[in-house]
Amino acid sequence: MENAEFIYICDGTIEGLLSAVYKSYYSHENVFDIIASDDFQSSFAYEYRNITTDFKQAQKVAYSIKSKISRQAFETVVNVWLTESELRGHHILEYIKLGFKKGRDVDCMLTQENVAFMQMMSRKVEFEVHRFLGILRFSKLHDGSFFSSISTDYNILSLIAEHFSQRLSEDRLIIYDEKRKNAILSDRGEWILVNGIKMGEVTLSHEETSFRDMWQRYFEAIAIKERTNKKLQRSFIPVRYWSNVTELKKELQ
Amino acid sequence: MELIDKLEILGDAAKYDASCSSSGSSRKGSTGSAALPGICHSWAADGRCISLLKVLMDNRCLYNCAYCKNSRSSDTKRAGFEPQEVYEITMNFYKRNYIEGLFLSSGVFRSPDYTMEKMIKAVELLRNNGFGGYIHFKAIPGASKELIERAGFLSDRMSVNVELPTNDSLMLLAPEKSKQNIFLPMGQIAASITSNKNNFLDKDKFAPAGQSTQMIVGATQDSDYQILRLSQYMYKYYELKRVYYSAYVPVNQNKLLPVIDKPPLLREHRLYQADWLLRFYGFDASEILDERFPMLDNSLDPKCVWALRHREFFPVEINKADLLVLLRVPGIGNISARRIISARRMGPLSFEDLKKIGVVMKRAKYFITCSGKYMNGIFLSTPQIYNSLVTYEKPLFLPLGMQTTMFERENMENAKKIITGVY
Repeated sequence: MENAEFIYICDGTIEGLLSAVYKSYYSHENVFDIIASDDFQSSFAYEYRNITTDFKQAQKVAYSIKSKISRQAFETVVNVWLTESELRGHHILEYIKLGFKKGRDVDCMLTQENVAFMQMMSRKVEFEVHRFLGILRFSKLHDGSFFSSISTDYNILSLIAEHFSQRLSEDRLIIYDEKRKNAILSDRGEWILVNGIKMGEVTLSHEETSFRDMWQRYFEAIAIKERTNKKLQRSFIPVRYWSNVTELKKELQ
Repeated sequence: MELIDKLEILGDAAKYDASCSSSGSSRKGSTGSAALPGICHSWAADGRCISLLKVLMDNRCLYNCAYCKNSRSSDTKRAGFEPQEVYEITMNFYKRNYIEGLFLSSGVFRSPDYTMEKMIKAVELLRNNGFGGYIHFKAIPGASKELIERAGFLSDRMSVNVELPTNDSLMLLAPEKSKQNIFLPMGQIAASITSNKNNFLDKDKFAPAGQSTQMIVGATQDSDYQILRLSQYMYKYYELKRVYYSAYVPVNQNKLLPVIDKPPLLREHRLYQADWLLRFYGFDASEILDERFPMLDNSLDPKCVWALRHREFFPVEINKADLLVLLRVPGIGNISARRIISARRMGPLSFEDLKKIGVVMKRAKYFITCSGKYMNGIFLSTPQIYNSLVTYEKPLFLPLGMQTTMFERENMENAKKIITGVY
């Protein structure tokens, strides 16, 4: 087919995405979307091509985006990829194309639907990252390390890792993503992301319950009864997050 | 007494302090760092954010301020922390990511200096053990200059609460305190902040996140105009980062205090909105209120009220107006104003574009033109605009039972007449 539209399939990582962007430029094929292999569903409307991740190519694309558009634009691309939303690859391609033409001004073109969409999605990711810097809770385990289990809308583990790794730079941490079965392992300020983890039961340290109880009592004491406003509380911290939040878990039962 | 019971008493005793912010400082310790934008960790059942472990060192107090839960004569459970205990709880809460740091205040136990020294010991323990989290330190009025100086270099933010905005109110409810007693330490803190501002690292600065204060709203007869004027004065002359407003909650029986069944939350909310206009929108207190209209309107936010009283200022042309002019338009905030300015460099903006940018059109449309034209089909009589703006007031910040009073027809008709000048 002369004018066939392609969908490129990558491994789902940022490097995979950027490798696909690289290939789309040099193949001169008409690429409509880039998807992760996990999301693959065949359709007659498109031609499919598997893309092997190539770190050199990925680095080149990352560098071009940062230098020809802006660092901010690169962050936007990464954030949107981490939303795992439908057509993210399509929007990213469009955005990069426009960006290479217009340079850093692309982010002023708010009246362009594509640019507005990219910025909106990127902001949502930033918002969730910021939210989890606050509502993530650690438990101290019997071996002295700190463990947290989270369930996020977007794939933000890699974006929160550095913050917590620095914050507890004398300790060992595990942050486990329940939905995606990934985890951050951090040891005194150095961290790695590990895929495909199966979490067993964890053993808490002996003082853990007493600090949880203290926090719970404090949490209840600090609310002013005359101002009770559960609706406002839920608007800041939606109930879907409560199961992993020490002080709110109890209210779910 | 068990530690958990102390924590309950001293947390409960500290809850009327509205400040919760943890922003404006960056430092790094072996445990923790203060993140520049500030982080909220939880929200209590009253919807207020919890960012810091907010506790009193001790809730025994020499003073007898009528409005205060911890006053000498008030019938409340008493407790006091040892510095080591504050250290333990803060460190353990911090590592579990419950909190961003510590907000340490206290009743005045034995003497101002004795109290301050004990608080400083707790904070020193934290810093000497590598704690890099945020510390908000409440200065005790009457404490020596040296102690305030020491506290400032250990903390990220310091504050002294004004609580009552006029001398008369102070005489009435807290006669043992004086204006000097409050503004002297505030002035000292402001001076120390300024003279250490240029130290390279935040950890070598004096209260790098600045100072703040709080006023109680509704315990006295003071008007919003008096409150707002004082805020403006303090922002200008005391290097204040923030003024907090705390709706009065009746905690003591005292015939000097007003009898109210609910804290004036709507009034508190309006004061925050007006305060925002002072700090980020280039308004002067005298533009928002004056002797004739000394109270903020209940039915509409202060920026809309200003716009309705100043129709001669409008319409604002979106494709030409300066930042400070755009900021005066209801429905355009700091973010959307800046977006307008950067987007219109790429070509003139239409009403459709404004929606995409995030302008709240249901408010803005009466006050703007795009390339010289008003939006189609809008009405321009002030009372009509008032009616429409009022319907978009969504008072989520008010608990359920309180939302109705705000929309009582009678009140609204009155407000409308006063704002629009049409009787």
